[in-house]
Amino acid sequence: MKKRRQSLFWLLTAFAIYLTVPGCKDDKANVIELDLSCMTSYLDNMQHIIDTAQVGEVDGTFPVASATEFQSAIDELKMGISKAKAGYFVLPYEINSYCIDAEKAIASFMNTYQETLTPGTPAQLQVFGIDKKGYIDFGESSQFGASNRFTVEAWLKYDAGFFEYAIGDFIATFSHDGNGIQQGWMINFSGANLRTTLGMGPQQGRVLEWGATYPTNYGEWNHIVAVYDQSLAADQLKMYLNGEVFFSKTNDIRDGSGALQSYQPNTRNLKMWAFVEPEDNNRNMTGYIRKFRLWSTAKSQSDVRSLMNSDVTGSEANLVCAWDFTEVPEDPTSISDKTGKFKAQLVGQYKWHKLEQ
Amino acid sequence: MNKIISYLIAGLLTMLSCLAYAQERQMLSGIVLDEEGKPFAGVTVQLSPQRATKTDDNGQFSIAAALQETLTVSFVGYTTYTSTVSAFTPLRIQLSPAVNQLADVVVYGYGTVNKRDLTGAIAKIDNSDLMQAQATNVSESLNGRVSGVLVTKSSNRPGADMSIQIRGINSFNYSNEPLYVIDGVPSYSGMRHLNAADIESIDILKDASSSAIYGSRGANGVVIITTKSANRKAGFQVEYNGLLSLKTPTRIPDMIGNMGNGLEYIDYKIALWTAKYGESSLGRSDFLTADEKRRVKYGEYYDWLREISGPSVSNMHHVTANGSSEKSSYSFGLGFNDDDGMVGKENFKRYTFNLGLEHRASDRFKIGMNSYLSLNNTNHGADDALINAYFIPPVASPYDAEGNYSFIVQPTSSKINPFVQVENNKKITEAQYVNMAGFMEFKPLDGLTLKSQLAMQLDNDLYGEWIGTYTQAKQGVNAPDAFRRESKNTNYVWDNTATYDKRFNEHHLNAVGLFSMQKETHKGSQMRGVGLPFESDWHAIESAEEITGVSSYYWESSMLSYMARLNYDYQGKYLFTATGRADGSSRLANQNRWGFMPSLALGWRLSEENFLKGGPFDDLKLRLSWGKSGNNNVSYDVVYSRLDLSKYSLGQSGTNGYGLGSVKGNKDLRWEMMSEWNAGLDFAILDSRLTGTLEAYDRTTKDLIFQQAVAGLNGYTAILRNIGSTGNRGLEASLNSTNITTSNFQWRSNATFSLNRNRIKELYGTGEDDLANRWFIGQPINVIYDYEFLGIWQEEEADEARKFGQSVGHIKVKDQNGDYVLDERDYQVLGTPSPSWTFGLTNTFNYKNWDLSVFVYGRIGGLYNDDFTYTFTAWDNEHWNKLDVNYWTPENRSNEYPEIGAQSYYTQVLGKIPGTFVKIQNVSLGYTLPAQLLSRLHGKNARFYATVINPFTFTSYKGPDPETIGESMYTQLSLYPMSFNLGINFTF
Repeated sequence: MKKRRQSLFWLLTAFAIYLTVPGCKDDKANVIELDLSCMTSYLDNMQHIIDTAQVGEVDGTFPVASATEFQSAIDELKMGISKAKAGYFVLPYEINSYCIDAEKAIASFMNTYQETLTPGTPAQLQVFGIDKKGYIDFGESSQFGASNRFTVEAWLKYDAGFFEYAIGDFIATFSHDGNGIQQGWMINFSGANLRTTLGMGPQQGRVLEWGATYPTNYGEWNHIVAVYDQSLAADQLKMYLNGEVFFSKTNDIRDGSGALQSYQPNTRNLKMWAFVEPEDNNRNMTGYIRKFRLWSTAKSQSDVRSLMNSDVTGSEANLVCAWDFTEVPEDPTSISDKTGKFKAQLVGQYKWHKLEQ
Repeated sequence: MNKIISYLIAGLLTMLSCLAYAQERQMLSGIVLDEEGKPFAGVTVQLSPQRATKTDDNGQFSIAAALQETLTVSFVGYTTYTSTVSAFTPLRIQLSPAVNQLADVVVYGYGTVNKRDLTGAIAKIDNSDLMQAQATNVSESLNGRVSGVLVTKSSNRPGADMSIQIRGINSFNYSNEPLYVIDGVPSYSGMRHLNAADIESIDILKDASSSAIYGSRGANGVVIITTKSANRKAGFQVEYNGLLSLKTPTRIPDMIGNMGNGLEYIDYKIALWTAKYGESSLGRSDFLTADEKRRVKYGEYYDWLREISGPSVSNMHHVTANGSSEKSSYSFGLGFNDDDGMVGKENFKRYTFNLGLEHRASDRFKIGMNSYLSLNNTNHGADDALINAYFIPPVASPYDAEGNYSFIVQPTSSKINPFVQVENNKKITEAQYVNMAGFMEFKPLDGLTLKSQLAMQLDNDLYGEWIGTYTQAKQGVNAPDAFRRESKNTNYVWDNTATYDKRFNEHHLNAVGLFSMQKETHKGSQMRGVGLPFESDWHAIESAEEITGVSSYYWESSMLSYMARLNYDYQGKYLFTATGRADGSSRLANQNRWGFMPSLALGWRLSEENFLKGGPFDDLKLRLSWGKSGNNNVSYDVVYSRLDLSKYSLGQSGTNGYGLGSVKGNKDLRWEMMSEWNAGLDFAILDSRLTGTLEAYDRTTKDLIFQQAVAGLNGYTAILRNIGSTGNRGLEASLNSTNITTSNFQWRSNATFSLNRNRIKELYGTGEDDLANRWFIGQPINVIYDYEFLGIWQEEEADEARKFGQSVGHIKVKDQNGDYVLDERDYQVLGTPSPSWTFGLTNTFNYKNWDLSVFVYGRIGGLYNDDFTYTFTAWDNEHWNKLDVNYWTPENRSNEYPEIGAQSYYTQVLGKIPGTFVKIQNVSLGYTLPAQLLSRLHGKNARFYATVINPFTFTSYKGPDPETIGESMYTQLSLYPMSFNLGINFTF
């Protein structure tokens, strides 16, 4: 009887140890079956496109450089398939990445189809900012950084997947003073939000940044306005979307001692670009722009609604600069603004889409 | 004549009968033990009023007894043992402390009083409770064991600081720590340097009528520590206490992919990058490096928190010896603590030495001294190491291809290898604490005692910090930094007291007068060396490329005090205490430096009244008190406007300039003064098997010193003024019960309960809130003022979310004013970072020589701002890890945490977390050696015990320890220890 009790005791003890001691699991190697079908499908598709594309330097063809780039993408995909078959990849996302790259390569190649529009043709401007391929350079000026009051106003439209990096920059003159103090402003997208970011100081590394969910009416124009007015006690930063208040934000940026920080205009890098951020080029997006205006005053909601439905001549008070991208320019490297003070240039990949009358 | 004859006959018969009884008597012997099983000396053993004896030093007794006689064994403060003599075999009798604590002696400042006669709110914790807690820092032992006391830990690293609040906080800008008095000497070093084994008892003066005895230093309550050296026992004994502790991290937070589930992390990272950067971003080379992919392929994952931490062994040894002869008493103690941390080189070592001497030259004159020396070395561990272990994901390895530690473990992240960090970042404090006091006592008249005591306190500490090149701060590139800070503090106190204690029939009078002088000095310096060429720690700062942050200081403060206290009771039924103390402090200007702090207290023992006699109450006492005390924790220079030093470049060298500081001093400043009403009820029922104390209080602190902003026309932007007031109201309860008691088995319970409500009563005298500082009249001093978290926007709420500019999967907060704009106008006071109520419950079971105790501690309520929870649930850094919690997905409609990578606004609400927890904090099983075996070992007592500290914690907190919510993320972050202790207590 005693022996039986002892046996039972040891059995229970062993069971308790088994239950309580972790780490004795028989972990099997986690092998995931990879599906290569999307890679082979894209390869077939791309091969068909390059085989049938007319390559040349005239309208109705694809540029030679684009074809070469596209062929590189095909070769890269073939290499991916070889790696996959050799067991180089572990996780499905690695296969998917090749497929996504292939899809982008197709879209990029198709966008280079040459169709020359004569200057003055009513058209819409699409700029391929993703991967820093194209942007609008508005030049350099200390006036772009504005000061205690300003309004940025623009028409924008985009399609799904219009930015890929953490921040998709629309228009910005945003930099730092060389010692870490953030300067300038940036209208940008991040996550699900359309935001305005302002460099604040004098403390280093401070920004006033706020936003709200961006409109997902893909393929439709939106009138986007950012207004900053430092003289207000609250709601110094506002954004309007199609004439309605998009958000308002009170400046709550303080330094370690509690002192309220203020907007810092640019002092070092005075560039203003659209679709790629002039300082951090990884912040980029692809989209269409119709009109862009910068005012050195804080516009009210009624002003914004009025501007949304009207044009400017260039002689309006407090207008810093204004461009209309509504027709094909004479010289894409020198597009004058309405005030006559500044010139913009289209850099890299962009496309004018003819407006059907 | 007949009468004489009859008396003679009666006397003769009586003598004969006594002789007959005497012939039946035999010697009855035995041993009496105290509650810890130690021999109990001086206990009265009685068979009749005429026949009584006392136990000797070994607890032994021997007395002539007859069968069927009633034997009683008694000692003050212990439950009397009663039995009928049925045999003459040796007895073994163990006395238990009377649950009726009203008989305890309480130290209440410049004297002692039986708790029975107490009129104020004073709680006591004695050595056995402190030893039971097995806490390296004695302060921690008070949590849940004393009502009205809240101890906050800054961290679970060894040697970490703790702060104590008694009945809430009073002051906005100055310390809310209580006054610590060690063996009669006010101390500003707290009690972290004391070894629990050296402490006889701790008495906590909670209400103003009690703390008024310490006048301008008593507003935050008073903690009186009595060390063993100041309380000598008769005879000679040597006692050894030893403890071996195995500490292991428990409740390690659940990070994504830990415990070998690395693919879980990959899934998370794919979701994060897809949401944040789009699906194409997964093809970027920095999504997963080739090494990381290889580890995924072979299932080679690192659980960084479990890799960087591990079990540690700590130990404590303490020897006390004390003895006494007719003329002299002495005691000394030696103690050693070695508390090892669970991460890197964290460690706390403490060496203590105490000595007490007393010589009684005559019945009227005696002299004596107490001294306490404590050497404390704290290795604070490395900054950044633990937090990096949280951040670095399981697919990164600490090793390079050769198996050595890499400095950079993630080429794509700024977080460096924590194993390298712990080797290259040192933070060490070496501190020495010396307390010495000598006294003379003279009794010129019966009942009158004159005593003069001169005490000195000396604290030195040296803090050094080394930040090597291969650290997070230096990124493996920049030359090392070293920082050195030294401070030296002295405190001299000369107390002269006259005590008159006399009983006149049914009147008892105790009067104390005090004249006291105190002077304290504080000096120190610090410097930082940037760019050190050698690994010289902080001992060769002169070799640095640049020396910065050089500063030094000196300040002194002194105080003169007069105090008088009168205690009077009639028949022990009507009790009266009046105290008045006048303090003059050098910290305030001439016209305001004297403050008078009076108090009055009344006690009424209702159970002694005829109308309650024979009722259910064995004891019932009602107390009512009022008092004032001050807070002199204000800066030493509040009345002065400082000239700040500025360095100006002039030519090739700089020059010093001085200008008025931004804050103007104010010579009209007065003491921050606290007044308090306290009502208390002490009771004992069911033959004193259930006793308790109930307290209710209402405290107001006025004339709080604030920096009031003023127009900067005069060169300063703020001025110090007495302009605010705060209040604390609360309830406290302490209950003790003997649930079961038989000859072999006892079950006793002790419970405490505390509730405090803090509020601001007035600010600036305008009746207006201070929004910038988040101070609101009617609300607690510290509040959480923010958006109200409602949950996560769900699919069916997409349209409503869009009205707020929000998306599905993002954080939903309440639009308080209904204007569809979420801004500061929607902020609300959501709560206060202080528990709504706390409790402690100790159950003790004794069976023969075995004892088992279980201590449960809980804090209920309170809302805290926790950086840890915020950082590891709200941050979506593309390369760092986060907590594995219930994140929203379209399929998983969580209302707790937003979608991974959502980049939601209002994420700060995720860091606002409830502080509720209940801990089974201490389970201890002990065995006391039987007396027969002990006598063979020539010992008086031997007890062995095994304890588990922190075995179970119930909380919703996602971090390790809910008691350290809010600890500094980069410098104090710690894991939560569960300790398995083995201990011995042996007395020779």
